[in-house]
Amino acid sequence: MKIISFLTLIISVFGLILGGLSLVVNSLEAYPVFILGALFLTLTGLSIAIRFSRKETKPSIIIFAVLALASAIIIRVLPEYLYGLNINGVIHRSIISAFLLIGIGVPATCYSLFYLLGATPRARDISRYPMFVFPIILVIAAFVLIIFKIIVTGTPQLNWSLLSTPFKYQTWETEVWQNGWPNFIPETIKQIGLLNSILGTFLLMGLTSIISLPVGMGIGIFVHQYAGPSLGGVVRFSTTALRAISGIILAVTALSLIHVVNSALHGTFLNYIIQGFGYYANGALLTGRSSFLFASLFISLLVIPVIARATEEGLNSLPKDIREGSLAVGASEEHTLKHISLPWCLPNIITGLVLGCAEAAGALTIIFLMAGTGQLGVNPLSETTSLAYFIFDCRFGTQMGDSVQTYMGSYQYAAAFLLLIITIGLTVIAMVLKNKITRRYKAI
Amino acid sequence: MQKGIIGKRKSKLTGIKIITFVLAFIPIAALLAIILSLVLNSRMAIHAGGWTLFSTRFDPTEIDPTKRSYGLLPAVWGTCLVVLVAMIIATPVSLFLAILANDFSVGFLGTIVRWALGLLSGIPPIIFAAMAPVFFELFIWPKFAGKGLSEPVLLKMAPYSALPLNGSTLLGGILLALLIIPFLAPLIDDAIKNVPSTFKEASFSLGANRWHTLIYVTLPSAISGISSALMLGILTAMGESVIVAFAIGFEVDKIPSPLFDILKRAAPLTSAVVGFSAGGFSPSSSGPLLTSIGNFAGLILLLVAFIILGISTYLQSRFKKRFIS
Repeated sequence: MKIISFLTLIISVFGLILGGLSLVVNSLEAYPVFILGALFLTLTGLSIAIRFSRKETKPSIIIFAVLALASAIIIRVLPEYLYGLNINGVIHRSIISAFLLIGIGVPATCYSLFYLLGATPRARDISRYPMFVFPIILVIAAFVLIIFKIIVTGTPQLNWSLLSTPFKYQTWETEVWQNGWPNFIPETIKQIGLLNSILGTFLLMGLTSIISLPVGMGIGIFVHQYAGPSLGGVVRFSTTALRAISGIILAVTALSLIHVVNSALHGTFLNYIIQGFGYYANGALLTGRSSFLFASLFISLLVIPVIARATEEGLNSLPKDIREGSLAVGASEEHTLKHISLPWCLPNIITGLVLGCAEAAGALTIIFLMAGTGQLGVNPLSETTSLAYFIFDCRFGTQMGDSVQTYMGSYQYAAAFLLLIITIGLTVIAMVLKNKITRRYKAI
Repeated sequence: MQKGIIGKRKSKLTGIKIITFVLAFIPIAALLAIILSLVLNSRMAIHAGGWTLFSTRFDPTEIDPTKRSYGLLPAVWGTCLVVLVAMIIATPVSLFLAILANDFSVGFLGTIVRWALGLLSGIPPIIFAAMAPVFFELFIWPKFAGKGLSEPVLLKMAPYSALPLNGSTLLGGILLALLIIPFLAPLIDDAIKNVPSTFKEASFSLGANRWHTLIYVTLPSAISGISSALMLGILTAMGESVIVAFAIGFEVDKIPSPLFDILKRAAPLTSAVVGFSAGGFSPSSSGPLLTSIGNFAGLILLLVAFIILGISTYLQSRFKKRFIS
């Protein structure tokens, strides 16, 4: 029985590998029929072996054997391409054989592992691993594919001049007097680079953390220290809801606000602050679509809940004895808060802040309707731009009415690589901090 | 809130208290302002569209004004489809990841899984969105659009416009699933981790193995926590707009003709809102009326989000009441 279950295990593992490959490769069509046929033979053999050595019938194994035979016949009969029947596509045969192989290969692996290990309760535990691990391997392969593609395509594009020049494509006409007549000469600036997008990402992160740190901490302290259960519940629900609702809703609200300000207060200082402004190469004053300050106000609506939750968790984790000890020796509530509670939950707050920064760096849903190419400079009152928006622009630039897609469309992998480094780096920092916090809890 | 030996002291109005009190009203005010803005801006859509907002056809360019229809049901159905695809892929994988990290962990496997999930959760959605062409070339094109076939052969098989060449619900669902797995798995992990160890120990002491303990003890006890996590996953998948804009597109004209046709482009609500509101995307078709319809669609999204959040909070509280007293 061991030999036949070992055979089944090897064939079904081959079947799983083939099934995984068939999801992406078209040219492996010759093999699934043989593997499924072999699986039918070995599964039948396994059930016969079980019948003789253990004196029991396993109907489920027989069912899977019959299914293997049936699917081998189905794959043999199917034409190469399936179409018609109102399907909006031309379906290749190999996708069906991949699903059949996986659907029969996983149970076959489980059963053969179970009988190979002697059919003990411990073997039953171990024989479940293929079922858990195989889908995870497929998903990991997808993640690895994404990261591999970004690194392989993105790193060769990176060089110092790309990182140190801002993107610029501006055309204008200068008036020159020649022979007593005005002559308009078209002039063009064209620079390829990512500098303003990178700086814009960091500016967004900084502004967002400046805005959301005090607010988030204040909310956390209020909910923990002062609010009653009902008011605290309302505040907590509203922060949760702000994170849970779709970012596009915030974006639409921001757009309406910009529209109202633009139509009611056109040309005033407030309009310039909200829409952002900068100077064109020929000196003309331009208003953008929205400023960094305004965009980071809306991004901080997403970051405030993170920091508030982190602060509250930190305050909750403060051991009661420490706080009461401070109150017992005569310190006031505020003194305790400032010198005992807040220093205690500082790591929690920093973790929340770092995660919030990662969020701000990747937050595109809110800004992609009101960002620009960053040609108007990078300061809090100029037009928003960020690496995430740059990647978006590489695909939709022409539709959005700028020239990034035309001149820098191929650099999206470099930008994705930089963005990935920034966000993953921040996430790693947050995870290390979190690890330190949990270790501190264990120490007490 | 915290009641110690000192009890509830008579609180004075101090500076910190006032400041935090004011700050605490910022999220509430922001939420109310968002709702108010959406309602005010969608008046025009309600006035112009009326009940046709809930019809199955979206056709604002019809010449006869009485025949114009602004139905949002195609977009709602698009949301349902893409979330369905994403959850079908993401739920088992996240569940398996959580199980591997808890009950079936060997050595450092649980720690490794948690660290990997933490790392992957840092990838912003735009990265997945930008990688849509890669998945298209690798999976959709060879399998569902006849890679390598010449155009005359293809035309004999299916109308060329019906092929998923420029994005499909399936592609969007796969990318969304990749986005929500690192978000969903830690939540399910928490739900499974919080099942009291006494339950499992009782099961083990009766002679059950790990698989039986998982199926008959751990998962039934954690079911409300798991379903609450799934609700939050659905919420995240529903609210994502960048990935679906890249992988599916913006067009909402009618419901796909076989209802569950995931190879067609059925734009969900979020990317429909993008298409309506962004003047820059399609300047010719965008206008005050379309912007207003975008606001109305946002209102629908907000309502659904609140309902799902309410269910999730209820399940969470039930879970907590049962185990964490």
